[in-house]
Amino acid sequence: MAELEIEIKNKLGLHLRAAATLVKITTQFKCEIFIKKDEDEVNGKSIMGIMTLAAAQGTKLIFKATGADEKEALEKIREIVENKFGEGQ
Amino acid sequence: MSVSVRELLKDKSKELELELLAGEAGLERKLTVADVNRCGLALSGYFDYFVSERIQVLGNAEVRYLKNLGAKEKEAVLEKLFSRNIPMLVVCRGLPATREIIKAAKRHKVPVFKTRMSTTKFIGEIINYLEETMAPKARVHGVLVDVYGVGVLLMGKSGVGKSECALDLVKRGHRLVADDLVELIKASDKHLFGFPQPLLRFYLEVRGLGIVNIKELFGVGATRDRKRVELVVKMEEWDEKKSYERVGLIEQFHEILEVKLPALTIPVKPGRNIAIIVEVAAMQGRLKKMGYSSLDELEKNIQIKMDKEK
Repeated sequence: MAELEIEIKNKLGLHLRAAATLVKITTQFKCEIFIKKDEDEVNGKSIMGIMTLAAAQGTKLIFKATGADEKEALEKIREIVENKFGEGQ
Repeated sequence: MSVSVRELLKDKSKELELELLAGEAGLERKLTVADVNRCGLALSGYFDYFVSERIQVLGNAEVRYLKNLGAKEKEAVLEKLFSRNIPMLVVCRGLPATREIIKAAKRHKVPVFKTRMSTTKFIGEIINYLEETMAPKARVHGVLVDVYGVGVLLMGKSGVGKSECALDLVKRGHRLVADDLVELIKASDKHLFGFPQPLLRFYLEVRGLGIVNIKELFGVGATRDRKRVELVVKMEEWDEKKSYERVGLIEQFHEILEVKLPALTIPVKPGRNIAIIVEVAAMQGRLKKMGYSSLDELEKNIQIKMDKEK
């Protein structure tokens, strides 16, 4: 299992569109992905689950990936989060 | 599991008509057991077996008893009660809390409330609340649907078609409880209740379609707030190498929070109508509960035919 702790940087946080963008990435990989915010943990491939996190700008999330392609998955996730989900702000 | 007095107040103050009279400093006190104590015996001075960790309740009898005590005696017994580190005290029936109670509450930082509810009703309601709040909880990835009154939990990997199956079931007149995330609480050793995450209530996500609101599309009758889980249907991609149940002789179970639930594994293949299979599984479960088993009957008929041909 690999882990990635990262802060949400875009202004709108993990809103609907950002969640959709994230799911598009996570579902490309075979490994299982879970996202943890405080006590809450949701399936990283489920848009509904991600929405319930209601992670605003500045929230710290922990991504946990388990499977053959876990490293690549976390790398891609880091990229898209750092890139503010392509929203520019 | 425990809940603080402040949380209780936040969740239930309206419903239980709770009004804080004194002891605000003690709102962080923890309630650790789902029970209350009518503290009549303690007021009369008997403290053996006193359950100090419970919410202490004063009803009509206790309030009248206190009223008949002399001022000194009253103060002494209340001092004794409040010094036992009780989490909170409630005076029911809208009865007045005496000056001595308020004083002791402030001194020991124990929240004291008053409610207009009758004592019995209040006790019933608060125990219900405490039991539910302290019950073991879990969260599963799946879809919960009420099918002919049977709570069916559809489980399986992302993309196997759980939500599509639920949509099909709703279209056929059944009710959606929760899609994607199902929150579960264990009400007793045999009872597991499921409900949606509040933010996702009524929503269903279908690949290719997006997120839809079942209540707006199909009406409020197509939804349900919570349902006991009685059957687990595990959906998985059809595996040529695996042999699936053909007769129904082997009973499968799925355990969640140590509750053993009847389970089925249903292989999914394009064009296979899963909703109908789930409907029949639910009905079959009900028949079984009523004491009917199609297998027993079939077995009997085979036996009869064999005996005749002997």
